[in-house]
Amino acid sequence: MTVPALPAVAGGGVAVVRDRAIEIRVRPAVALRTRPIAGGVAHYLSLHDAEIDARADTFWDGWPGLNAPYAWRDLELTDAVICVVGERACVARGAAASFPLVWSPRAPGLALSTVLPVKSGEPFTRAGLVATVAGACVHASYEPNGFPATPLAHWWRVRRGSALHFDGGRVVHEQVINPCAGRAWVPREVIAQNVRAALDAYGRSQRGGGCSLVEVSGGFDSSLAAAPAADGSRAAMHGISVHYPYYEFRFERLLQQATADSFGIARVEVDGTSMYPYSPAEAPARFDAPSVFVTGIRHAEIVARHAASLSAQRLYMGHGGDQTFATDLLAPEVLVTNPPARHPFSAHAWRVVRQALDDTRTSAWRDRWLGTFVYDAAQDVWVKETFGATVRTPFTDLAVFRAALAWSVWCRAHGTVPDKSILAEAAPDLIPASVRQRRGKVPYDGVWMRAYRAQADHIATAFEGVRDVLAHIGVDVNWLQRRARDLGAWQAKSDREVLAIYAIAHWLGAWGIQRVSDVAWSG
Amino acid sequence: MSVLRRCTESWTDVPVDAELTLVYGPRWARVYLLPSADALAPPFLRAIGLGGATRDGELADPVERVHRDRTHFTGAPIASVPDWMVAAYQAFDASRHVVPLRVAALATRAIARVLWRTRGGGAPAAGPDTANPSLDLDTIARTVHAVEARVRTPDCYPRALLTALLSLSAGRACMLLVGVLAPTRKMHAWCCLDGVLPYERQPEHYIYRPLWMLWVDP
Repeated sequence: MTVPALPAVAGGGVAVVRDRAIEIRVRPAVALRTRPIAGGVAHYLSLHDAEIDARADTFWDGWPGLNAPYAWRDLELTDAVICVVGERACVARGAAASFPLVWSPRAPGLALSTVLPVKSGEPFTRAGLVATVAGACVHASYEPNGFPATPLAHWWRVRRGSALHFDGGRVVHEQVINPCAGRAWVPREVIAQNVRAALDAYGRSQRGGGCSLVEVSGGFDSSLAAAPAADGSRAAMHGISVHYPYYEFRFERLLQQATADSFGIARVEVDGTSMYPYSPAEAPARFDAPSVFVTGIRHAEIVARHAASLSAQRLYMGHGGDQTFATDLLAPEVLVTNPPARHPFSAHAWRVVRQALDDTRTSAWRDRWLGTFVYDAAQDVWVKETFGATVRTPFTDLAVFRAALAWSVWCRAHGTVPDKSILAEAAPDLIPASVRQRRGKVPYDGVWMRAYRAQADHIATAFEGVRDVLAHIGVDVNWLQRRARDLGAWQAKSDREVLAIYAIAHWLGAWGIQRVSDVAWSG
Repeated sequence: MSVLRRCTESWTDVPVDAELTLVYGPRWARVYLLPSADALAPPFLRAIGLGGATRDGELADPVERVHRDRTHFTGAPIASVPDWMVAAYQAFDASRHVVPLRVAALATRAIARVLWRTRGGGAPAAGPDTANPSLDLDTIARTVHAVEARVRTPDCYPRALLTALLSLSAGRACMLLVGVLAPTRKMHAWCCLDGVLPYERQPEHYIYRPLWMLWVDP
């Protein structure tokens, strides 16, 4: 097997690992560890450079082998493994994978990549672009998992929470990765102990991590993201909070300051009105695939830029806390019941959207216990590649997720709804009293309405800039612009279509694809 | 109890920008977004049920704390409540767009008077906790929680009226409030007793800016 170092391709240095007819392209942000396995070689991939050795060692130590029924059960939710044995390959991708992983058949062989080669000259597909609307419309910003199509005609996504088996470049089997180790309920005290043990393990994994920044929201989740990691590294941890000057947020500032004070960290405050949803970023934000996360790109940029100014290696956020401990993980994800409006889509585009909606609703990966609705990782690669910091939350750690699963099992057995009381029970010393006693969570509905008021013209301009391409894929730009302006005039209308297609428009604009002739098309 | 005791009603509007403002109309239980000049016009105010109410510059939420929420009753047996109470809750819910909230509050007070007489109560006691030991905050919270466990879709509107019913039947005055999560049209209703909200499924009243208040004496 050769592991040559090749020069930059498609806009960034990408390492290429080639074994016979199987080529693996790995972007610099993704760390790789390689080891021999029976008859071949295996690669462990993670965005967490400083943790990959421990993660890979732990995984391989317990790995039952490539063909074992539960071969991938112990894979960390954010990571991936690629095994190559002769002409065969197996790609396992964690349910909360924090970097892209796509594949394309080659003659002969197979190409696997952590970079979707958008500007490589490969042809686009209208259906691949339009299908992203479905995911955005029914389950917001999670990377679509009901279908594997990407905007490129010959590239497909490896679904999160799946293991794809290839032979000679063809998919021969797709397997759902179930991280659940059992469904029998254990006593509440045991669950609390397991939660604590998992958080302590997370804390140990963060030791020696250097300077870090935590987004202090004043809630359980960001407190648990920061507190275990702060132990022993408090001097190197900084805080940042966002504040909105609105009625519903009037208690938040004091709460955020009290939280930062309890951690003993300095905190800066940023005015939320300077980073409304849809506010464009100053740095180019080119995601591999369209994502509605771009509506929060300015917020992400300001926080990440502050991290870079501190030379922070890690950016701690409490993402995934609600999705793990305040959600019934034994149930399928509840999808939005009313579909997007028919009006902005041509007949052909509407058929694609309907099919993608059906695929999403009937997807085998809709069950929450698989971990596919825990975390939206859209920003992680961009933040790391642009600002140098790795986004980190404890709620994607497999041990934490399994503790949350056990909590859901206990709650189901006792006829109650999961909530975060188990976190307060497990880690009272890690959650400041002010947070444990806080009133509740402030919704962002008012912020979003004001965002449409402030950004309606920007949204309409974004659609206008790629009108030619949107029309080509079957989207009515005039309808979208009218809807954006209605939302900007405080009208209580659905924003689902604007949100979903803005993700596409932003993506096209970011990649400089403004006219149909800018790229090749295949269907 | 005297039927002539007052119901003091106050309202305010919440501007969303330089031109438009939000107003709540108790007649049809709806919130309206319109130009400020139109929102303050007397014919409009009469049409939406604010003709007899006092306009205040800003209505402060009197609630200082929520006594109980749903999590408090996790794992605990659900109290037994009479069927008529469940029926009253459902009637409150069904009536919101038909019976003006002020009328519903007066009807609630009338029912409370009957309950008061049934219990053999006399004049209301002086202090809040001694008004009726059998209807303290815990009992009110437990009762509302138990009623909601028996209905299909718990909602803040009937919850507020049921809380008012229980409070008034114990000889305690209360305040009904309706608020909005501006600039959306999302509304919430709640009932406050001496600065305390006895029960909310989840504490959320504080995010809703009060648009309308009704003080109800027993």
